Amino acid sequence: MPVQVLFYLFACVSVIAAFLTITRKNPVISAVWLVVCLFCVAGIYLLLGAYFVAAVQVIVYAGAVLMLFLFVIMMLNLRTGIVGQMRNLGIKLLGVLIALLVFVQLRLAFKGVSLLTGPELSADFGQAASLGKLLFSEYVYPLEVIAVLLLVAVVGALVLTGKESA
Amino acid sequence: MQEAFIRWIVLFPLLGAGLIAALGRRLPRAAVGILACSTVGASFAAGLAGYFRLADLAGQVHPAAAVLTDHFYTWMALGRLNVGVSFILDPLSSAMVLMVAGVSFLIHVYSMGYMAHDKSYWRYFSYLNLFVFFMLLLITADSLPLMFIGWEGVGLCSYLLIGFWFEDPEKAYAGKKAFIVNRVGDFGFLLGIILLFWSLGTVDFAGITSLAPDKLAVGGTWVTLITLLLFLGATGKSAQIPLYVWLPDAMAGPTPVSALIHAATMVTAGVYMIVRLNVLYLMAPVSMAVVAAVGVLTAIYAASIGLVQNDIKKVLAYSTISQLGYMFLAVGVGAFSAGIFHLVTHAFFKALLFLCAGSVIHAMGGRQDIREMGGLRTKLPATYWTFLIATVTIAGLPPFSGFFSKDEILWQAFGGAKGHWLLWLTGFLAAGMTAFYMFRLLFLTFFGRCRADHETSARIHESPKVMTVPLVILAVLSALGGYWGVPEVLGGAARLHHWLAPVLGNENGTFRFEAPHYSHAVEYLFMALSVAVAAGGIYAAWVFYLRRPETAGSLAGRLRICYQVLLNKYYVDEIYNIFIVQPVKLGSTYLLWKLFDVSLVDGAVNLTGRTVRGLGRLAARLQNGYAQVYAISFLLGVALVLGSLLW
Amino acid sequence: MLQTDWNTVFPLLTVATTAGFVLLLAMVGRVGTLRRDIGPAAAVLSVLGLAVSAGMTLWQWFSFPRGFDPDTFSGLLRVDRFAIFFNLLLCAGAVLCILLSSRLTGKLKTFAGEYYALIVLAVFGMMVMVNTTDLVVLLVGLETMSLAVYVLVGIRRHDQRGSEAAAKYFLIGAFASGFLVYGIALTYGIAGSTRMEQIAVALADSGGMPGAGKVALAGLGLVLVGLFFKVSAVPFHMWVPDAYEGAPLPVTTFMAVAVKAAAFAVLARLLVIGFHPLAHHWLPVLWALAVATMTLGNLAAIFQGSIKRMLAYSSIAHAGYLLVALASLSPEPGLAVQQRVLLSLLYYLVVYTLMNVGAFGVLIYLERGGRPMETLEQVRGTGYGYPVLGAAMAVFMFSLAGIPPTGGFMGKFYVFTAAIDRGLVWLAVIGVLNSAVSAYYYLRVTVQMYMRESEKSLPRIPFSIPLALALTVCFLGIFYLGVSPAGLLEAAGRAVEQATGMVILK
Repeated sequence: MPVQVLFYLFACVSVIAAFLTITRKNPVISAVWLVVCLFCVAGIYLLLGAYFVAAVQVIVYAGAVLMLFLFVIMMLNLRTGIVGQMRNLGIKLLGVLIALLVFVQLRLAFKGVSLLTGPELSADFGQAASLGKLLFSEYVYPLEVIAVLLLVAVVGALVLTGKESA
Repeated sequence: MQEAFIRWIVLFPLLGAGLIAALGRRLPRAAVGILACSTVGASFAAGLAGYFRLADLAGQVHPAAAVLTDHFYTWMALGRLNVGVSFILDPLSSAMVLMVAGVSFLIHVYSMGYMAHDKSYWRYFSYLNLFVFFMLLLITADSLPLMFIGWEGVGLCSYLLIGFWFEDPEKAYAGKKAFIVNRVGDFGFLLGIILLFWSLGTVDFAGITSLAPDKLAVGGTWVTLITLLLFLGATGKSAQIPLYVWLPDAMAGPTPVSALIHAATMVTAGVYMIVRLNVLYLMAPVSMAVVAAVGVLTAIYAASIGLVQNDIKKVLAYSTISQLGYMFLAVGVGAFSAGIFHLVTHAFFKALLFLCAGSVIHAMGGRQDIREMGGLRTKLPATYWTFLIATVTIAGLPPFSGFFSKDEILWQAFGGAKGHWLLWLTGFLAAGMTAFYMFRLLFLTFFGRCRADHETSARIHESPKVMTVPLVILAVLSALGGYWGVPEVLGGAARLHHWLAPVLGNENGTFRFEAPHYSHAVEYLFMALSVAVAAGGIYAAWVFYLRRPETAGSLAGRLRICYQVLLNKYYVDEIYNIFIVQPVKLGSTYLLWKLFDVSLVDGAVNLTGRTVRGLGRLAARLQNGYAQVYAISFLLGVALVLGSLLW
Repeated sequence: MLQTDWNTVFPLLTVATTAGFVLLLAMVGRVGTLRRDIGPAAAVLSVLGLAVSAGMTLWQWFSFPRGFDPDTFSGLLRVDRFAIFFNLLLCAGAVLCILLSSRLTGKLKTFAGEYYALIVLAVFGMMVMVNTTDLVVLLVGLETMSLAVYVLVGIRRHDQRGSEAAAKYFLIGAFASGFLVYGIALTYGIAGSTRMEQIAVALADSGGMPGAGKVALAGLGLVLVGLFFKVSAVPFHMWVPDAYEGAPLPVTTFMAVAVKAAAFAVLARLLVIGFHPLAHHWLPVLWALAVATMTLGNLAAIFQGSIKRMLAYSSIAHAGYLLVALASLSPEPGLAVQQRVLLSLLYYLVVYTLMNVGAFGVLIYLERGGRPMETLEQVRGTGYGYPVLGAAMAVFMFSLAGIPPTGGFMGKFYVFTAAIDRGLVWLAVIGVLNSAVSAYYYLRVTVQMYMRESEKSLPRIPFSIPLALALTVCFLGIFYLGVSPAGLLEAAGRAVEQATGMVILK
């Protein structure tokens, strides 16, 4: 039972934090709410027994990536109110309505489905060792492909922001 | 029987087109012309060889088996669809090949003179050769898809040749109009092929002829629908109501092109297609009735417009539409051989008329208005005499070929099993009009005094030999071409009819053309009537335009409304524009485009009524509203996809 | 220990390595004393790498299935003839696009090397996509491709339209990926696997969890949405005109050709294998989308003044024709019934690649004042001034319009007969009607090219070997495929034999 309570807590907080992230006018505050959101997601991972992923989530996303965001925001000295003015209320409303429609449809799809009947997890599920073994044996191929994906990201960043020679 | 040389009938002109396109720029003009003529000549020779081989064979084997085929290669094989690039030479296609290759050859020769001073000489001949290739492909194709290639190809060449003088926007527009109207027809044609394949599982002619009687119900919905769709294609290509509007505009092209494509060959493709599929059409009585009705209506409709036109080529264009109407009338009443007979004689005399018109235009320095001509009889003697023969032929006076072919059609329209006296009467009246407007054209152009300005009339000269010799040959063919179809009642042998008999109807004779059952006396009477109405038309033209030229003007004055309606071609172009072109344009502009492309997106921006003051490139780009609208459209799609999948 | 047959992976490895070398070359070009334009060298290197990779896949094609292990990396890498066919098509498409890029990279200067590296990396992503039947690997490949293409769209950083297009494309693309990932997660939740074969088994097995059917359908829907975005089906198409217009022309070509081919390959595999048990549900969706995509694409294309934008809408319309092919898949299991449909899809994609590269190539060739021609106004009279280019453009336009004897006609013919074979006559009729409409705007380009307003002479265009080469290949290819389609049909037939062959064995 406490597990379920914790899950709903984390879930609710992450949703609220995500909402605040995209509605705050001050980018620094937005970034802070994002940290909260990512922390909560890490909590959900913990509840699911994925300890390693939870740790990585905190260290990489909530830690490194968000710090980088904040540095950039502060370095560029972006002031309050530059991001996302509520401009066209009609369009926004329409978007919210359709999003609600999608949500309702998905919710109805889950009606009567019991999702708690998955296969039993092995004892070492979620541990760094077993994850590492899987990543470097069965899933080595997608891992390598992800390496290329990161290379693309690096090259892309370079091309879009790098200094151009004369 | 497999005969590998048949492919060369088709391939020679393609070879010529390719060679000229590749080397034409560097070759001297004479070489280009001779090359182009010789490839078509070679086709004709091969066709002739095929004809003799076929005639030889016809004596030895069962007539229905007297067919030469040439399987070139397998074109597409997919499931039960198996289409080869294969050619057939049977009595029908061999007759067509000889006519097309022969007339094309003469027109190629004529073009050497007519286009002598054009700067794009080689390009012209390259297109012309390409056209002959596609036309021969259309004729010798053994399946509907291959025929469709030819069908589209001739349309393409027609478009290229109409818009040949690209610089002129009007001509480019005419080319475009021809192309688009033909696409409407082609849509029907392609749909017909698809449905035929769907219902029969085959698309080659032999298969259709043998399978259709078993698999389709006579007079059933499918066979009627298929034949009507194919006929829609024919109305586009052969300029029948309602898709005839492109042909008069197509006269913008060089005159030999009008003679070849828009009189003798391409426009007859629809008639040929129906004769090729005669079994299918005989199974659909409703479609036959539609074909006959459309044909005869087109015949009288176009003839009435032809009465008052002043452009020499426009008169001939409407005359062509009208004569094509006769051919459809013939095939519509089941008189397929009569239709083909008229197709061949018409090819001779109409090509001749156009070439003569070309010669006149050439002499007049490009002028085409017959009100500015007159008295050319003495200045252009060769043109005059050949034009006279062609005019007499089309008017339907014996013993010229036009008399036999037109009279045969009218007789079958009255007395044939599918005939009706209304069909006959309408065709009969159109025949009178034909005689009238053709002689009007003759009198205004060649008789009376010359109405051209001094400068032009001083330069009028007869065309060179290379142009007049083809005229003479065509004149001989027009005059004597009736020989192949003199009916038995006049002591003739109706050779063409017997020659074509094996391809008409199916093998066991369930679907077959039935000859009229009337006594000879009735037939003689109808012949006399045909001659009389032609003579009446000629007399009227003579009265109006030679003896008392003022009557024409005063009559036009008294029947002002009628005259205006005819002169403006029943305002059909305007009606099409108002009721079809504009609504489609407006509807799609305002409804679809505005709705999906502009208003939704722009509206999202404009509603805010504020300019975007972006800070930072990215932010500014993202806040102009587009990205949000895109996301919402996307989300809507998600909702729809999920909705349709889940509920 | 993991058993890996390296013969299976070599084509992929070669492509990745090529990208690495091109990047190294780019770096060398930037080093102080060596400062020079490495664009041409990078292009040659990229083409060589792709050619070597294509050569290896060709070897795989002929030695299949004995020469190497088609399933390696514990089944995550699947090299069957279907995959090989697409590997070849993608390599060829990328090489053609690189040939079209010679003028663009001349102007990019600094990032010319990175430009080619990104193209090669995108091809790598696509090959990963088509060489697998696992949804996770598919996703990783798709993201690799997408990321590279986002950057390529915005590679001209000082071009406003380009940056705008890249930003929009990126945002909407990320949005779409979100749905795709969610769909994959739901599917995994139901099937307990991300392998298409096992998903099919799980979905076919009705005795699963109660009510799971709806969740499976939701998963299917979301996965489909993610892919519909990539193939630019209506209503997931709104980014297309902007992205195509904003991107440099060679990149537009690459997007229209390679990205779409890879997405369709994946979609086909997914529908034929993974989600086939749900065919009764997704077939109506595909019918509706095919009709909407064809019709809207064509109608919108009519009103474009910019040829580039017109071709963008035309590519939407062509996605509609390709969807007609997929919509003609049969709900019956078994490969034989699907073969004809897949065959027509593969055939159409090859022709589509050739004619689009050709059409865009002509626009690139006709550049004026350093910018490619884009509007109908600009091309007026060019057909007369540059007869060879005019003729080539006419052929490409005729092929796009589906007029025989070009490959475009054959492609449409196969797709529509496939639909008729399944009894979807109405769908074929709408398709034919649409292609009749499309003739209007394709033809307009030709008409404009042959309309001559004034006598002002057009400037001479410098001859470009790579461009001419690409155009010649497309020109000849379109005619060859129209006149003699048998060879490609046979190859496509052998490719689709393998599309699902192994599933049936299992």
